[in-house]
Amino acid sequence: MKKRVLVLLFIVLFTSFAFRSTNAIEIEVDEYELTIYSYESLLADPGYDFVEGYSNYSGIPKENIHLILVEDANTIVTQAVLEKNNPVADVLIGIDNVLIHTAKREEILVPYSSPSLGNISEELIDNLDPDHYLLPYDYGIIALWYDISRINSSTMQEIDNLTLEDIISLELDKKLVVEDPTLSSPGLGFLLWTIAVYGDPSINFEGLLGQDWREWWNKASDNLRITSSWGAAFDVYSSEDNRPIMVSYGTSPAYDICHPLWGVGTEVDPPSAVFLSHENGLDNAWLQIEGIGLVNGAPNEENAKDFIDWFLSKELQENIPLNNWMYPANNQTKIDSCFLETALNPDDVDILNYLIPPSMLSENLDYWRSEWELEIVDFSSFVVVILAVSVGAISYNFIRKRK
Amino acid sequence: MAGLLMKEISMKYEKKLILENLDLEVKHGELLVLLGESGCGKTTLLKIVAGIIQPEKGTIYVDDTEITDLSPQVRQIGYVPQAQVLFPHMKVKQNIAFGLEARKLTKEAIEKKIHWIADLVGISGLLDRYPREISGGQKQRVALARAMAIEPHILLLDEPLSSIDATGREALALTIRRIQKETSTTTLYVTHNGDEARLISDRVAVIYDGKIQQIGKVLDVEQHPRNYLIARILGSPNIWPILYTKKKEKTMLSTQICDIFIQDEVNSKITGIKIPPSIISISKTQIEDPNLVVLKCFVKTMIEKSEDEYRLILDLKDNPSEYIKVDCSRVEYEKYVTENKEIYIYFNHLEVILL
Amino acid sequence: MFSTTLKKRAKVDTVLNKSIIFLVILAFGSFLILFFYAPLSKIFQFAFSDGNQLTFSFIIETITDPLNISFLLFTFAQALLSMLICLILGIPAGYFFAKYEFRGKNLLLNLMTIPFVLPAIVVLLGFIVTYGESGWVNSIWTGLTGIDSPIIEIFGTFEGILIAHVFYNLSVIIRMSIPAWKSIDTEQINVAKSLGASNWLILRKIIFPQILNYLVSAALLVFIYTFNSFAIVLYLGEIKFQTLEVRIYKLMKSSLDFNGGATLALIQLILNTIVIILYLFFESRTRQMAEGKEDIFRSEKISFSKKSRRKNMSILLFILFILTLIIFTFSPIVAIIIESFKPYADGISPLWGYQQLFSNEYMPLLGNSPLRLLLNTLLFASLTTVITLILSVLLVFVLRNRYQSLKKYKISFSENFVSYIIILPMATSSITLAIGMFLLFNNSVIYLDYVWVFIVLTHVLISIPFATRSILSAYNRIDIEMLNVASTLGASRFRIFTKIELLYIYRGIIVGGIFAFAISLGEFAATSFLVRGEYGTLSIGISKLITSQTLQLPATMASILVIITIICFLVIQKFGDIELKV
Repeated sequence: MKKRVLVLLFIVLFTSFAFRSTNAIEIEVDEYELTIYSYESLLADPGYDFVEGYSNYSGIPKENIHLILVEDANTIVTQAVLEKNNPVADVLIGIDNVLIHTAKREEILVPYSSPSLGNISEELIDNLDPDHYLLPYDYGIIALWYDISRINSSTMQEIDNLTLEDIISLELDKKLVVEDPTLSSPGLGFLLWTIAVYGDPSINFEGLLGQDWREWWNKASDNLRITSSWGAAFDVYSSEDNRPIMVSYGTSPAYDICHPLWGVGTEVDPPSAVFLSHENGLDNAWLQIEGIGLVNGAPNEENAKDFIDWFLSKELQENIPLNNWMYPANNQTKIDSCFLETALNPDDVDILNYLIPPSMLSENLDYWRSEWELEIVDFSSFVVVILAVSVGAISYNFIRKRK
Repeated sequence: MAGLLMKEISMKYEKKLILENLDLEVKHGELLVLLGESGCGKTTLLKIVAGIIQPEKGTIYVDDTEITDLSPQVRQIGYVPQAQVLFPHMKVKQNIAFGLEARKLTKEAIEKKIHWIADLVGISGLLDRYPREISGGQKQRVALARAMAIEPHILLLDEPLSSIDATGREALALTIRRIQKETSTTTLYVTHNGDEARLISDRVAVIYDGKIQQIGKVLDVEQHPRNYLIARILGSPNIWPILYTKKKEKTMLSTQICDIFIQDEVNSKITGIKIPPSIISISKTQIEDPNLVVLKCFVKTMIEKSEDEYRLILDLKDNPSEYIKVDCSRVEYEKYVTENKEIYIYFNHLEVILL
Repeated sequence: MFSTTLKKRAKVDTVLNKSIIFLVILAFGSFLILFFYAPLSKIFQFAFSDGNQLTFSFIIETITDPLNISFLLFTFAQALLSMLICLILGIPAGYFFAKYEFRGKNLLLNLMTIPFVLPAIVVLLGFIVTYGESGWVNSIWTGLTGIDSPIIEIFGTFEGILIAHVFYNLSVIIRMSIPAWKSIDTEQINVAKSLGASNWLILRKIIFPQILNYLVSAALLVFIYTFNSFAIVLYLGEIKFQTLEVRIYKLMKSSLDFNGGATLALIQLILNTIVIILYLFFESRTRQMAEGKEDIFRSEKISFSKKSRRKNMSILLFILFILTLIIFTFSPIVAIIIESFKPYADGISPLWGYQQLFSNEYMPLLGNSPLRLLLNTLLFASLTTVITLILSVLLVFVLRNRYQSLKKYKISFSENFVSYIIILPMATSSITLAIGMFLLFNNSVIYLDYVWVFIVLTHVLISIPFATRSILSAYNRIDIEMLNVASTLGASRFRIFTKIELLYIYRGIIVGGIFAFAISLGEFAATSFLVRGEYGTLSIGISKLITSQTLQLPATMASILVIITIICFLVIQKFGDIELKV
């Protein structure tokens, strides 16, 4: 009997303890509050603690600023859509110039013309969102980043002048990691890159070459590694020897050279580099502009606006190059010279974005994503089913019926 | 007074009638053996008395009080199922006490009762053992004690000897009989074995087709079974069903072993014949006599019943799958029987008992 | 002459019993209606209505979508193949364990079952550590041969998913084929041999027909599990391979196509129901075959004879085969534990992972600190256990209440009712349960602030069939005659329950409870769909870190789950047989 009482007591104690501990961090209603959704690699390497930075600036206690990190920008959008009727977040950081179309359609954001916009180039703002639902905080081009120790111009002469077609013909797809465009924003950028280059006959879109983008993916699909996020792709790139190329940014080489902890410096040979695609003799690439936006129905709207102003201010923007490894949107920002020397500047590139007008993009985004999935998915399973069933049936018959 | 009275009991199982308008009376203090082949519904009948199954139709009285709608808990009926099902997690003593505790008796009273019944059944030495530590016969005694401890109005025994070694059967049967008499408990004893009925019953009731077909003292039923089936259920020797009958000047009854001719028109339907071993004689040679049935046989086995009395089991020459039992004296045996030689048996047509 | 107090008590007893049955059915029914059937009807609504009116366009779109067709085929293909491989490996292994007796056999057998009860995400992590492109096997391969390309690729390949599924489900076949082999009396084979039958003939005519039912039900079980596989396919399949479960998740969560997701969930539900009914049919046939069979099978010791070298060779090969299976089974588990002590970078302590449990460093990513995740996990599991047990014990009480009201030998209405309404929840996949909850409740205050309530309820729905099965299988060992005798001796329904039935089923209750605990502990699919903010569990935490380079922290969290699972499992072993069946 005593034993039973003890057990019961233990259960009660344990349950109440566990309850308390989960309840302890429950958000209390407080006007000094702010909830931010972003992706996991934001300002993360080596790391600038922007929550603390903003806390110091605004006086909102650090523990009242709730930063929730998800895998990738796409998840930020879907999470916000799921919560549309009862928003949790005040600010969304990381939606880019492609996903903005989904975000606008789903009405998860409201326009906010921050005073900080004065320091951001009109072109950048217009390229992201002229209606100010989303305000640019950084930008860079999508590029194919490769590890020079594993692949370089001596092992692969053509590397400085490749086309997308060459990736297939030189079997570079076996060395390439790409991100899933249905889940990841750089992955989506790369998909649009291929669409802009090859075109899409099904919607009468010429593109650069007037072919069909699907063919490229169809040929490559068996050899590519496809990850769910940039971070996961980076893990594959850095841990698996035979995947030395990944879809990343033109700024990525700066990461290896200028990183305060393991950057090798500009004097030494760079450990990594990027290549673009050189169809028609151009330097083609897709430009990504990342933005910050105010949530439609944000619980703490004033704090959110204040945060956005701060996020676009010089104070934060100075941390972007060497922590987020992108070009800061604020043109007043002083950029580290190492970064400037080693990162590929979007101005030096032939931007493919102009080939796909915003209306075409917003109309076809979902269509392209599902078409892409169709190219990737392995139809061989159909054959396997038939095989498996017939093997099963034959062996059953063999055992059962043979005389 | 009727100890147990059942009127027009009917019971269906998956649309098949297993009991149909069954009537049965067990006199107070009587041990009635319910005899039937397996699957005839006798266990169902026991369960209906115990209240475990509700009959579809019919009424049940115990000592003239109707109990049809009472739950098993209040019927106060001692039920010993075929597999003894003792509570395996309780000692023998706790098993016996189980029913007494349910009746909220005092501890002393329970203790007293346990010792009284344990002495009566002969298991005093086993009280502190667990069911897994005792033999099958002992288990049956414990089950009996457990049922008797509540001083039941009716004791129900379902094939109590079936799981016991041959050697222990008689002893247990006699124990049951003794206790039943001492406590004069009305008892319904279910079995498929006629010998058990012969051994301990006051009366026997033969059941098939969902009805009690014949009821009475064993000897009466044995000597005058109402039909062939009853005789077979009772386990009488040398009985055969009638295959077909023919009527000329005499009536011919054809069976598997022989044809029997009888003189007169028979009023009731004859279902079988019985050739009691006592009417059969043996001979070494063929006998020609129209009044006699003569069969050619081989000796299969011989059982010595006593110094001077032998029972022979004979194979029929014409029909090797049938055998017949014959009694003979030692003298006759030595005179007529030689190994591997055929012998003849004969009996009078008229002495054959018609069933 | 009949005691009036007894009569009165009996009357009260009957009334009480009836009202309890009524209340239980009411409570259980309303639980199911509120948290299962209502969510399910919401799924129907999304599948058949565009917001205003009935439409079949979603159904037509869904079943004609080439992607869905391809994933449906893949789901079938991988389930069939996993099942076949499990059968090919598991049946001989089962034979070995049935035939030979050796020291530590039971322990070994039990340990080999552990993968089956491990959380899917832990299995996945163990797999990545062992077979990943920079995992153990490939490192050894490269080290030995100098060949740079890996020997096994598990990401984005069919074989990766198959290996993981076989690892996960092999023990089901091994365990369930042991009774199959044991059901064959060795005398039958001796007789057949004496009649001059060849081994092949004996296999076809004597052995195969007798073990067929066992094997079919075991195979169907593996089919059900792999058909609804989620975590493994979500990560290993990349995007190329998706089971319906993963596809539904992605439609709902990444594409926000609620109509498409709901429609596909319905299709999956129908397929599952068919397989479950098939399984239940074969399972009951197996049970009937097993009933009344005496335990005549004698295991023999492993021995080598001096005469027959061929026989010795075959025994040796057999032992080698079993050893391979053992290594296959244990390496991922061992790998996880070793990985948790392997510093992810120079200068990091081997205990870093365990120290991280108490830090908030990973809070933005995990939604909470690892310790809180652990506490959440344990709390959810405890609540799930309590609720599941209460519901299942009551359910069994109703299901097995027939002996007293046994009229005309018919199965009572309540029994019929309950056994039908429980089949559908059994056939419903975790994701479907979760999306039902989500679609119905996502705007409620409870969902927004206390989403853990729905996580726990989903875990309860997943656990109930398992717990009920454990308790029922314990209950079925009770001889009904014993309860009959007890009632003729005057014991009330409750006295019978406490004095007899409870003593029989308490092992079943413990096993069922631990099962519920273990299921909730590692549940991933539904939790990851529903989870919000700080209410994550260890499984969710592991999944967020599983693609990172530094596997030390997720391996630490996984090790904790492994250890808790093993403890649970050992307790189950102590108290009764593990029921691998749904």
